[in-house]
Amino acid sequence: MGVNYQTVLWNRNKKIYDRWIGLSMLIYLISFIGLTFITNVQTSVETLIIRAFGTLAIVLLHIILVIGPLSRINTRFLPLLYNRRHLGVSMFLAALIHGGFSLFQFHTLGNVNPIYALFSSNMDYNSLKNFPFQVLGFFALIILFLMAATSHDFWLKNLSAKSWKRLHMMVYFAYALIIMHVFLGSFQQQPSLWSTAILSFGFVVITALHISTGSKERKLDHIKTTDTNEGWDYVCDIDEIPEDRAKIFIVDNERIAVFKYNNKLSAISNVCKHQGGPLGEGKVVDGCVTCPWHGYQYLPHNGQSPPPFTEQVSTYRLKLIDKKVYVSPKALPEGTEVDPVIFNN
Amino acid sequence: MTSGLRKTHRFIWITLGLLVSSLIALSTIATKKPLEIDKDFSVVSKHKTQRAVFEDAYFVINLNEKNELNNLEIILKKPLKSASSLVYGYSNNSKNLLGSIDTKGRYTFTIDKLTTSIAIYDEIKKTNIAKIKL
Ligand code: HEM
Ligand code: FES
Repeated sequence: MGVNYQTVLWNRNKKIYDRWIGLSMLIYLISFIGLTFITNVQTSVETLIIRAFGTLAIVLLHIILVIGPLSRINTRFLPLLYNRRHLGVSMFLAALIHGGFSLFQFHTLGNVNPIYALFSSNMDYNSLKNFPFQVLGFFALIILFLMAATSHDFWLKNLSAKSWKRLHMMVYFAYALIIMHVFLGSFQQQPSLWSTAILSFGFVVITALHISTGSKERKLDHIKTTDTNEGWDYVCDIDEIPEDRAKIFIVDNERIAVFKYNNKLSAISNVCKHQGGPLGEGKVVDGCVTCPWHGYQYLPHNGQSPPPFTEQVSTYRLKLIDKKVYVSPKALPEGTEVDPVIFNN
Repeated sequence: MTSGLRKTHRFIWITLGLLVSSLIALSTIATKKPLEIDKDFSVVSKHKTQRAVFEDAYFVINLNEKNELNNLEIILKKPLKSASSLVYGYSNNSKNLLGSIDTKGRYTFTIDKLTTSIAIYDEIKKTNIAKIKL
Protein backbone atom coordinates (compact mmCIF):
# COMPACT_ATOMS: atom_id res chain seq x y z
CA MET A 1 0.00 0.00 0.00
CA GLY A 2 1.32 3.41 -0.90
CA VAL A 3 0.40 5.22 2.26
CA ASN A 4 3.16 6.06 4.68
CA TYR A 5 2.27 6.15 8.28
CA GLN A 6 4.18 6.61 11.43
CA THR A 7 3.18 4.27 14.20
CA VAL A 8 3.23 5.17 17.81
CA LEU A 9 5.94 2.76 18.75
CA TRP A 10 5.36 -0.34 20.79
CA ASN A 11 7.49 -0.44 23.82
CA ARG A 12 7.82 -2.21 27.13
CA ASN A 13 5.69 0.37 28.95
CA LYS A 14 2.83 -0.02 26.53
CA LYS A 15 2.81 -3.77 27.11
CA ILE A 16 2.84 -3.25 30.88
CA TYR A 17 -0.10 -0.85 30.58
CA ASP A 18 -1.99 -3.35 28.45
CA ARG A 19 -1.44 -6.02 31.04
CA TRP A 20 -2.80 -3.68 33.70
CA ILE A 21 -5.86 -2.92 31.58
CA GLY A 22 -6.56 -6.63 31.07
CA LEU A 23 -6.01 -7.48 34.70
CA SER A 24 -8.20 -4.64 35.99
CA MET A 25 -11.01 -5.63 33.62
CA LEU A 26 -10.78 -9.20 34.85
CA ILE A 27 -10.85 -8.14 38.51
CA TYR A 28 -13.86 -5.95 37.81
CA LEU A 29 -15.79 -8.74 36.09
CA ILE A 30 -14.99 -11.28 38.80
CA SER A 31 -15.98 -8.87 41.59
CA PHE A 32 -19.19 -7.94 39.79
CA ILE A 33 -20.18 -11.55 39.27
CA GLY A 34 -19.13 -12.50 42.82
CA LEU A 35 -21.09 -9.65 44.38
CA THR A 36 -24.17 -10.50 42.32
CA PHE A 37 -24.04 -14.10 43.46
CA ILE A 38 -23.69 -13.05 47.08
CA THR A 39 -26.54 -10.55 47.00
CA ASN A 40 -28.98 -11.83 44.40
CA VAL A 41 -28.61 -15.48 43.57
CA GLN A 42 -31.47 -15.66 41.14
CA THR A 43 -30.01 -13.75 38.22
CA SER A 44 -29.62 -15.80 35.07
CA VAL A 45 -26.15 -16.22 33.58
CA GLU A 46 -27.09 -14.24 30.46
CA THR A 47 -28.37 -11.31 32.52
CA LEU A 48 -25.24 -11.44 34.61
CA ILE A 49 -22.99 -11.28 31.54
CA ILE A 50 -25.06 -8.44 30.07
CA ARG A 51 -24.80 -6.42 33.25
CA ALA A 52 -21.18 -7.17 34.06
CA PHE A 53 -19.97 -6.15 30.60
CA GLY A 54 -22.38 -3.22 30.23
CA THR A 55 -21.23 -1.67 33.49
CA LEU A 56 -17.58 -2.47 32.70
CA ALA A 57 -17.90 -0.63 29.39
CA ILE A 58 -19.40 2.45 30.95
CA VAL A 59 -16.78 2.54 33.71
CA LEU A 60 -14.02 2.32 31.09
CA LEU A 61 -15.68 5.05 29.04
CA HIS A 62 -15.64 7.38 32.04
CA ILE A 63 -11.95 6.66 32.61
CA ILE A 64 -11.22 7.33 28.94
CA LEU A 65 -13.09 10.62 28.98
CA VAL A 66 -11.46 11.87 32.16
CA ILE A 67 -7.88 11.29 30.95
CA GLY A 68 -7.91 14.28 28.56
CA PRO A 69 -8.81 17.00 31.05
CA LEU A 70 -6.76 15.38 33.83
CA SER A 71 -3.61 15.52 31.75
CA ARG A 72 -4.29 19.22 31.08
CA ILE A 73 -4.47 19.73 34.83
CA ASN A 74 -1.46 17.60 35.76
CA THR A 75 1.23 16.24 33.46
CA ARG A 76 1.57 13.14 35.62
CA PHE A 77 -1.49 11.77 33.82
CA LEU A 78 0.22 11.97 30.42
CA PRO A 79 1.27 8.29 30.39
CA LEU A 80 -2.44 7.42 30.53
CA LEU A 81 -3.09 9.61 27.50
CA TYR A 82 -0.31 7.80 25.70
CA ASN A 83 -2.15 4.52 26.23
CA ARG A 84 -5.72 5.73 25.89
CA ARG A 85 -6.25 4.04 22.55
CA HIS A 86 -5.96 0.55 24.00
CA LEU A 87 -8.43 1.43 26.71
CA GLY A 88 -10.78 2.56 23.95
CA VAL A 89 -10.54 -0.70 22.05
CA SER A 90 -11.03 -2.68 25.30
CA MET A 91 -14.10 -0.62 26.10
CA PHE A 92 -15.52 -1.36 22.66
CA LEU A 93 -14.98 -5.09 23.16
CA ALA A 94 -16.77 -5.00 26.53
CA ALA A 95 -19.66 -3.03 24.98
CA LEU A 96 -19.79 -5.47 22.07
CA ILE A 97 -20.16 -8.46 24.39
CA HIS A 98 -22.88 -6.61 26.31
CA GLY A 99 -24.76 -5.52 23.18
CA GLY A 100 -24.29 -8.88 21.47
CA PHE A 101 -25.63 -10.83 24.42
CA SER A 102 -28.57 -8.44 24.78
CA LEU A 103 -29.47 -8.81 21.12
CA PHE A 104 -29.18 -12.56 21.51
CA GLN A 105 -31.23 -12.74 24.67
CA PHE A 106 -33.98 -10.32 23.81
CA HIS A 107 -34.36 -10.47 20.05
CA THR A 108 -33.48 -13.88 18.68
CA LEU A 109 -36.64 -15.60 19.88
CA GLY A 110 -38.92 -14.48 17.10
CA ASN A 111 -38.51 -15.26 13.45
CA VAL A 112 -37.47 -11.76 12.42
CA ASN A 113 -33.94 -10.51 12.02
CA PRO A 114 -32.71 -9.54 15.54
CA ILE A 115 -31.56 -6.09 14.41
CA TYR A 116 -34.99 -5.45 12.91
CA ALA A 117 -36.58 -6.75 16.12
CA LEU A 118 -34.40 -4.36 18.12
CA PHE A 119 -35.93 -1.42 16.27
CA SER A 120 -39.47 -2.68 15.98
CA SER A 121 -40.23 -4.56 19.20
CA ASN A 122 -40.92 -1.33 21.02
CA MET A 123 -42.19 1.69 19.09
CA ASP A 124 -42.80 3.96 22.08
CA TYR A 125 -40.45 6.63 20.77
CA ASN A 126 -42.36 9.47 22.36
CA SER A 127 -42.42 8.05 25.85
CA LEU A 128 -39.66 8.52 28.38
CA LYS A 129 -40.84 5.63 30.55
CA ASN A 130 -40.93 3.05 27.81
CA PHE A 131 -38.47 4.54 25.36
CA PRO A 132 -36.79 1.88 23.17
CA PHE A 133 -33.50 2.46 24.95
CA GLN A 134 -31.74 -0.44 23.26
CA VAL A 135 -31.77 1.55 20.02
CA LEU A 136 -29.63 4.22 21.71
CA GLY A 137 -27.15 1.56 22.80
CA PHE A 138 -27.10 0.19 19.28
CA PHE A 139 -26.17 3.53 17.70
CA ALA A 140 -23.53 4.12 20.36
CA LEU A 141 -22.08 0.70 19.63
CA ILE A 142 -21.86 1.53 15.92
CA ILE A 143 -19.90 4.70 16.72
CA LEU A 144 -17.60 2.81 19.09
CA PHE A 145 -17.09 0.20 16.40
CA LEU A 146 -16.08 2.80 13.81
CA MET A 147 -13.66 4.34 16.28
CA ALA A 148 -12.11 1.04 17.32
CA ALA A 149 -11.81 -0.05 13.69
CA THR A 150 -10.03 3.15 12.69
CA SER A 151 -7.97 3.49 15.84
CA HIS A 152 -4.73 2.42 14.18
CA ASP A 153 -2.41 5.19 12.99
CA PHE A 154 -2.71 3.79 9.50
CA TRP A 155 -6.27 5.12 9.40
CA LEU A 156 -5.30 8.41 10.98
CA LYS A 157 -2.96 8.97 8.05
CA ASN A 158 -5.29 7.50 5.46
CA LEU A 159 -8.42 9.40 6.47
CA SER A 160 -6.45 12.64 7.06
CA ALA A 161 -5.96 13.90 10.61
CA LYS A 162 -8.96 16.19 10.27
CA SER A 163 -11.60 13.61 9.29
CA TRP A 164 -10.11 11.16 11.75
CA LYS A 165 -10.40 13.68 14.55
CA ARG A 166 -13.96 14.45 13.50
CA LEU A 167 -14.85 10.76 13.55
CA HIS A 168 -13.25 10.27 16.95
CA MET A 169 -14.96 13.31 18.42
CA MET A 170 -18.18 11.35 17.86
CA VAL A 171 -17.27 9.63 21.11
CA TYR A 172 -18.95 12.56 22.87
CA PHE A 173 -22.16 11.84 21.03
CA ALA A 174 -21.80 8.14 21.81
CA TYR A 175 -21.31 9.07 25.47
CA ALA A 176 -24.58 11.03 25.47
CA LEU A 177 -26.37 8.09 23.80
CA ILE A 178 -25.00 5.64 26.36
CA ILE A 179 -25.97 7.81 29.34
CA MET A 180 -29.52 7.99 27.97
CA HIS A 181 -29.44 4.26 27.16
CA VAL A 182 -28.90 3.58 30.86
CA PHE A 183 -31.22 6.27 32.24
CA LEU A 184 -34.08 5.34 29.93
CA GLY A 185 -33.32 1.63 30.10
CA SER A 186 -32.22 -0.17 33.19
CA PHE A 187 -32.95 2.77 35.50
CA GLN A 188 -36.55 2.77 34.29
CA GLN A 189 -36.97 -0.95 34.73
CA GLN A 190 -35.30 -1.16 38.09
CA PRO A 191 -34.84 2.26 39.61
CA SER A 192 -32.02 2.26 42.07
CA LEU A 193 -30.94 5.29 43.99
CA TRP A 194 -27.33 4.18 44.16
CA SER A 195 -26.80 3.46 40.48
CA THR A 196 -28.62 6.64 39.49
CA ALA A 197 -26.50 8.68 41.89
CA ILE A 198 -23.22 7.10 40.80
CA LEU A 199 -23.83 7.58 37.08
CA SER A 200 -25.09 11.14 37.54
CA PHE A 201 -22.00 11.91 39.58
CA GLY A 202 -19.77 10.46 36.85
CA PHE A 203 -21.51 12.54 34.21
CA VAL A 204 -21.23 15.75 36.22
CA VAL A 205 -17.53 15.21 36.97
CA ILE A 206 -16.64 14.47 33.36
CA THR A 207 -18.61 17.39 31.98
CA ALA A 208 -17.41 19.87 34.58
CA LEU A 209 -13.77 18.89 34.06
CA HIS A 210 -14.06 19.27 30.28
CA ILE A 211 -15.80 22.62 30.48
CA SER A 212 -13.49 24.07 33.11
CA THR A 213 -10.22 22.99 31.47
CA GLY A 214 -11.61 24.06 28.08
CA SER A 215 -12.51 27.51 29.37
CA LYS A 216 -9.10 27.96 30.95
CA GLU A 217 -7.42 27.04 27.66
CA ARG A 218 -9.60 29.40 25.71
CA LYS A 219 -8.66 32.30 27.96
CA LEU A 220 -5.02 31.63 27.10
CA ASP A 221 -5.86 31.85 23.40
CA HIS A 222 -6.91 35.47 23.85
CA ILE A 223 -3.74 36.75 25.48
CA LYS A 224 -2.24 39.48 23.28
CA THR A 225 1.35 40.60 23.16
CA THR A 226 2.10 43.73 25.13
CA ASP A 227 4.69 45.08 22.77
CA THR A 228 5.09 45.06 19.00
CA ASN A 229 8.12 46.42 17.29
CA GLU A 230 7.98 47.04 13.51
CA GLY A 231 5.94 43.93 12.84
CA TRP A 232 7.73 41.82 15.43
CA ASP A 233 5.82 40.66 18.54
CA TYR A 234 7.53 40.57 21.90
CA VAL A 235 7.33 37.03 23.34
CA CYS A 236 9.25 37.04 26.62
CA ASP A 237 12.70 37.50 28.06
CA ILE A 238 15.12 34.76 27.18
CA ASP A 239 15.57 33.79 30.85
CA GLU A 240 11.89 32.91 31.10
CA ILE A 241 12.39 29.87 28.86
CA PRO A 242 13.90 26.83 30.61
CA GLU A 243 16.61 24.89 28.77
CA ASP A 244 15.22 22.31 26.27
CA ARG A 245 11.72 23.64 26.84
CA ALA A 246 9.45 26.16 25.20
CA LYS A 247 7.45 29.26 25.85
CA ILE A 248 4.00 29.09 24.27
CA PHE A 249 2.87 32.28 22.59
CA ILE A 250 -0.16 33.34 20.53
CA VAL A 251 0.09 34.78 17.03
CA ASP A 252 -2.98 35.15 14.83
CA ASN A 253 -5.06 33.36 17.48
CA GLU A 254 -2.94 30.22 17.13
CA ARG A 255 -0.32 28.94 19.50
CA ILE A 256 3.33 28.68 18.64
CA ALA A 257 6.19 27.26 20.70
CA VAL A 258 9.50 29.07 21.12
CA PHE A 259 12.17 26.52 22.10
CA LYS A 260 15.50 27.15 23.83
CA TYR A 261 18.13 24.46 23.35
CA ASN A 262 21.89 24.37 23.04
CA ASN A 263 22.26 28.16 23.11
CA LYS A 264 19.76 28.42 20.26
CA LEU A 265 16.17 29.62 19.88
CA SER A 266 13.67 28.32 17.30
CA ALA A 267 9.92 28.70 16.91
CA ILE A 268 7.47 26.19 15.45
CA SER A 269 3.72 25.70 15.46
CA ASN A 270 2.44 24.34 18.78
CA VAL A 271 0.14 21.84 17.06
CA CYS A 272 1.44 18.31 16.53
CA LYS A 273 0.56 16.74 13.18
CA HIS A 274 -0.42 13.46 14.82
CA GLN A 275 -3.43 14.42 16.89
CA GLY A 276 -2.84 18.07 17.67
CA GLY A 277 -0.79 17.57 20.84
CA PRO A 278 0.80 20.68 22.39
CA LEU A 279 4.42 20.59 21.16
CA GLY A 280 5.35 23.53 23.37
CA GLU A 281 4.61 21.41 26.43
CA GLY A 282 7.08 18.81 25.23
CA LYS A 283 10.85 18.68 25.64
CA VAL A 284 13.79 18.73 23.28
CA VAL A 285 15.09 15.15 23.39
CA ASP A 286 18.17 14.19 21.34
CA GLY A 287 17.89 17.47 19.47
CA CYS A 288 14.22 16.91 18.55
CA VAL A 289 11.10 18.54 19.91
CA THR A 290 9.13 15.59 21.32
CA CYS A 291 5.35 15.74 21.53
CA PRO A 292 4.11 15.11 25.07
CA TRP A 293 1.09 13.14 23.89
CA HIS A 294 2.49 10.23 21.88
CA GLY A 295 6.10 11.17 21.22
CA TYR A 296 6.18 12.34 17.59
CA GLN A 297 9.38 14.31 16.96
CA TYR A 298 10.28 17.45 14.99
CA LEU A 299 13.54 19.26 14.37
CA PRO A 300 13.23 22.71 15.93
CA HIS A 301 14.96 24.63 13.12
CA ASN A 302 12.77 23.33 10.27
CA GLY A 303 9.67 21.74 11.84
CA GLN A 304 10.35 18.47 10.00
CA SER A 305 10.17 15.02 11.54
CA PRO A 306 13.55 13.31 11.25
CA PRO A 307 13.72 10.73 8.42
CA PRO A 308 12.15 8.29 7.68
CA PHE A 309 9.16 10.22 8.97
CA THR A 310 7.55 12.93 6.88
CA GLU A 311 5.48 15.12 9.21
CA GLN A 312 6.08 18.88 8.96
CA VAL A 313 4.83 21.84 10.95
CA SER A 314 5.08 25.59 10.29
CA THR A 315 8.10 27.51 11.47
CA TYR A 316 8.49 31.16 12.53
CA ARG A 317 11.31 33.71 12.41
CA LEU A 318 12.71 34.97 15.69
CA LYS A 319 15.03 37.78 16.72
CA LEU A 320 16.70 38.68 19.96
CA ILE A 321 17.15 42.30 21.09
CA ASP A 322 19.16 42.44 24.30
CA LYS A 323 17.45 39.74 26.30
CA LYS A 324 14.06 40.15 24.65
CA VAL A 325 12.74 37.49 22.26
CA TYR A 326 10.60 38.71 19.32
CA VAL A 327 8.69 36.66 16.74
CA SER A 328 7.49 37.55 13.29
CA PRO A 329 3.80 36.57 13.41
CA LYS A 330 3.72 35.27 9.85
CA ALA A 331 3.74 31.46 9.67
CA LEU A 332 6.26 30.12 7.17
CA PRO A 333 5.18 27.14 5.02
CA GLU A 334 5.39 23.85 6.86
CA GLY A 335 8.92 22.51 7.05
CA THR A 336 10.64 25.80 6.11
CA GLU A 337 14.25 25.95 7.32
CA VAL A 338 14.91 28.94 9.62
CA ASP A 339 18.35 29.69 11.06
CA PRO A 340 18.05 29.44 14.84
CA VAL A 341 18.85 32.57 16.86
CA ILE A 342 22.17 31.90 18.57
CA PHE A 343 22.90 33.45 21.94
CA ASN A 344 25.69 33.33 24.50
CA ASN A 345 24.98 32.74 28.13
CA MET B 1 -5.09 21.47 19.24
CA THR B 2 -5.89 24.47 17.13
CA SER B 3 -7.97 27.24 18.62
CA GLY B 4 -10.89 26.17 16.41
CA LEU B 5 -10.76 22.64 17.76
CA ARG B 6 -10.64 23.96 21.32
CA LYS B 7 -13.72 26.06 20.61
CA THR B 8 -15.55 23.06 19.14
CA HIS B 9 -14.72 20.93 22.17
CA ARG B 10 -15.96 23.58 24.55
CA PHE B 11 -19.14 24.04 22.55
CA ILE B 12 -19.78 20.28 22.46
CA TRP B 13 -19.30 19.86 26.20
CA ILE B 14 -21.47 22.82 27.15
CA THR B 15 -24.23 21.57 24.84
CA LEU B 16 -23.83 18.03 26.12
CA GLY B 17 -23.87 19.21 29.73
CA LEU B 18 -27.10 21.16 29.28
CA LEU B 19 -28.89 18.68 27.04
CA VAL B 20 -28.01 15.44 28.78
CA SER B 21 -28.54 16.80 32.29
CA SER B 22 -32.06 17.97 31.31
CA LEU B 23 -32.76 14.56 29.79
CA ILE B 24 -31.43 12.84 32.92
CA ALA B 25 -33.71 15.01 35.06
CA LEU B 26 -36.75 14.34 32.84
CA SER B 27 -36.16 10.60 32.70
CA THR B 28 -35.64 10.41 36.46
CA ILE B 29 -38.93 12.24 37.01
CA ALA B 30 -40.67 9.89 34.58
CA THR B 31 -39.41 6.77 36.36
CA LYS B 32 -42.23 4.35 36.84
CA LYS B 33 -42.06 4.17 40.58
CA PRO B 34 -40.48 6.52 43.07
CA LEU B 35 -36.78 5.94 43.49
CA GLU B 36 -36.20 3.73 46.44
CA ILE B 37 -33.09 2.53 48.10
CA ASP B 38 -31.98 -0.78 46.60
CA LYS B 39 -33.65 -3.85 48.04
CA ASP B 40 -36.59 -2.60 50.06
CA PHE B 41 -39.37 -1.01 48.15
CA SER B 42 -43.00 -0.40 48.81
CA VAL B 43 -45.51 -2.89 47.47
CA VAL B 44 -48.33 -0.46 48.00
CA SER B 45 -49.57 1.06 44.79
CA LYS B 46 -49.32 4.79 44.24
CA HIS B 47 -52.72 4.98 42.55
CA LYS B 48 -55.87 5.14 44.61
CA THR B 49 -58.33 4.67 41.78
CA GLN B 50 -57.41 1.16 40.92
CA ARG B 51 -58.83 -2.24 41.58
CA ALA B 52 -56.80 -4.98 43.27
CA VAL B 53 -56.90 -8.08 41.09
CA PHE B 54 -54.60 -10.59 42.62
CA GLU B 55 -52.00 -11.08 45.29
CA ASP B 56 -49.76 -13.96 46.32
CA ALA B 57 -46.21 -14.49 47.55
CA TYR B 58 -44.76 -13.17 44.29
CA PHE B 59 -47.24 -10.79 42.73
CA VAL B 60 -49.48 -7.88 43.52
CA ILE B 61 -51.60 -7.14 40.46
CA ASN B 62 -53.75 -4.06 40.13
CA LEU B 63 -55.86 -2.70 37.33
CA ASN B 64 -56.39 0.99 36.80
CA GLU B 65 -59.42 1.55 34.57
CA LYS B 66 -59.32 4.58 32.34
CA ASN B 67 -61.48 5.89 29.52
CA GLU B 68 -59.93 4.15 26.56
CA LEU B 69 -57.16 1.93 27.78
CA ASN B 70 -56.52 0.27 31.10
CA ASN B 71 -53.31 0.33 33.07
CA LEU B 72 -52.12 -2.98 34.38
CA GLU B 73 -49.71 -2.82 37.27
CA ILE B 74 -47.68 -5.86 38.27
CA ILE B 75 -45.59 -5.59 41.38
CA LEU B 76 -43.10 -8.39 41.67
CA LYS B 77 -42.28 -8.86 45.34
CA LYS B 78 -39.34 -11.16 44.82
CA PRO B 79 -37.48 -12.34 41.75
CA LEU B 80 -39.09 -15.20 39.84
CA LYS B 81 -37.21 -18.48 39.53
CA SER B 82 -37.48 -18.35 35.78
CA ALA B 83 -34.74 -16.39 34.02
CA SER B 84 -37.02 -14.91 31.45
CA SER B 85 -40.69 -14.30 32.09
CA LEU B 86 -43.13 -12.77 29.64
CA VAL B 87 -46.51 -11.24 30.29
CA TYR B 88 -49.30 -11.99 27.80
CA GLY B 89 -52.72 -10.42 27.61
CA TYR B 90 -55.71 -12.49 26.38
CA SER B 91 -58.89 -11.13 24.87
CA ASN B 92 -61.70 -13.12 23.20
CA ASN B 93 -59.59 -14.86 20.66
CA SER B 94 -56.21 -13.22 20.62
CA LYS B 95 -53.06 -13.26 22.65
CA ASN B 96 -50.71 -10.26 22.88
CA LEU B 97 -47.25 -10.01 24.29
CA LEU B 98 -47.27 -7.17 26.79
CA GLY B 99 -43.63 -7.30 27.92
CA SER B 100 -41.23 -9.04 30.21
CA ILE B 101 -40.54 -8.95 33.93
CA ASP B 102 -37.47 -10.09 35.75
CA THR B 103 -36.19 -8.71 39.06
CA LYS B 104 -38.49 -7.44 41.72
CA GLY B 105 -40.04 -4.08 41.11
CA ARG B 106 -43.09 -2.37 39.73
CA TYR B 107 -44.02 -2.93 36.10
CA THR B 108 -46.83 -1.18 34.28
CA PHE B 109 -48.42 -2.16 30.99
CA THR B 110 -51.09 -0.47 28.95
CA ILE B 111 -53.81 -2.90 27.85
CA ASP B 112 -57.03 -2.48 25.95
CA LYS B 113 -60.51 -2.87 27.43
CA LEU B 114 -60.98 -6.23 25.75
CA THR B 115 -58.19 -7.93 27.63
CA THR B 116 -59.88 -10.28 30.08
CA SER B 117 -56.97 -12.22 31.50
CA ILE B 118 -53.21 -12.26 31.60
CA ALA B 119 -50.62 -14.97 31.79
CA ILE B 120 -47.10 -14.87 33.10
CA TYR B 121 -45.13 -17.26 31.01
CA ASP B 122 -41.76 -18.91 31.59
CA GLU B 123 -40.12 -18.62 28.25
CA ILE B 124 -37.46 -21.19 28.90
CA LYS B 125 -39.61 -23.96 30.36
CA LYS B 126 -42.47 -22.94 28.06
CA THR B 127 -45.03 -23.08 30.85
CA ASN B 128 -47.35 -20.61 32.51
CA ILE B 129 -46.22 -19.41 35.92
CA ALA B 130 -49.59 -17.83 36.57
CA LYS B 131 -52.81 -17.21 34.70
CA ILE B 132 -54.98 -14.50 36.16
CA LYS B 133 -58.46 -13.24 35.30
CA LEU B 134 -58.77 -9.49 35.42
C1 HEM C 1 -26.64 -3.20 20.41
C2 HEM C 1 -26.39 -2.47 21.41
C3 HEM C 1 -26.96 -2.60 22.82
C4 HEM C 1 -28.04 -3.31 23.27
C5 HEM C 1 -29.01 -4.17 22.48
C6 HEM C 1 -28.10 -3.10 24.69
C7 HEM C 1 -29.07 -3.62 25.53
C8 HEM C 1 -29.18 -3.40 26.88
C9 HEM C 1 -30.18 -3.96 27.75
C10 HEM C 1 -31.28 -4.90 27.31
C11 HEM C 1 -29.96 -3.49 29.00
C12 HEM C 1 -30.74 -3.81 30.26
C13 HEM C 1 -30.14 -5.03 30.89
C14 HEM C 1 -30.76 -5.38 32.20
O1 HEM C 1 -30.69 -4.56 33.12
O2 HEM C 1 -31.29 -6.46 32.31
C15 HEM C 1 -28.81 -2.62 28.94
C16 HEM C 1 -28.26 -1.96 30.01
C17 HEM C 1 -27.06 -1.29 29.99
N1 HEM C 1 -26.29 -1.01 28.86
FE1 HEM C 1 -26.66 -1.65 26.98
N2 HEM C 1 -27.06 -2.28 25.08
C18 HEM C 1 -26.34 -1.95 23.95
C19 HEM C 1 -25.21 -1.15 23.90
C20 HEM C 1 -24.58 -0.60 24.99
C21 HEM C 1 -23.36 0.15 24.96
C22 HEM C 1 -22.58 0.50 23.69
C23 HEM C 1 -23.04 0.47 26.26
C24 HEM C 1 -21.88 1.23 26.85
C25 HEM C 1 -20.70 1.31 26.46
C26 HEM C 1 -24.08 -0.05 27.10
C27 HEM C 1 -24.12 0.09 28.48
C28 HEM C 1 -25.14 -0.37 29.27
C29 HEM C 1 -25.17 -0.20 30.71
C30 HEM C 1 -24.09 0.49 31.56
C31 HEM C 1 -26.37 -0.76 31.15
C32 HEM C 1 -26.87 -0.78 32.59
C33 HEM C 1 -26.36 -1.96 33.32
C34 HEM C 1 -27.15 -3.17 32.96
O3 HEM C 1 -28.28 -3.29 33.40
O4 HEM C 1 -26.61 -3.99 32.21
N3 HEM C 1 -25.00 -0.70 26.30
N4 HEM C 1 -28.34 -2.58 27.64
S1 FES D 1 2.31 12.55 19.09
FE1 FES D 1 0.19 12.27 19.14
S2 FES D 1 -0.45 14.27 19.23
FE2 FES D 1 1.66 14.54 19.08
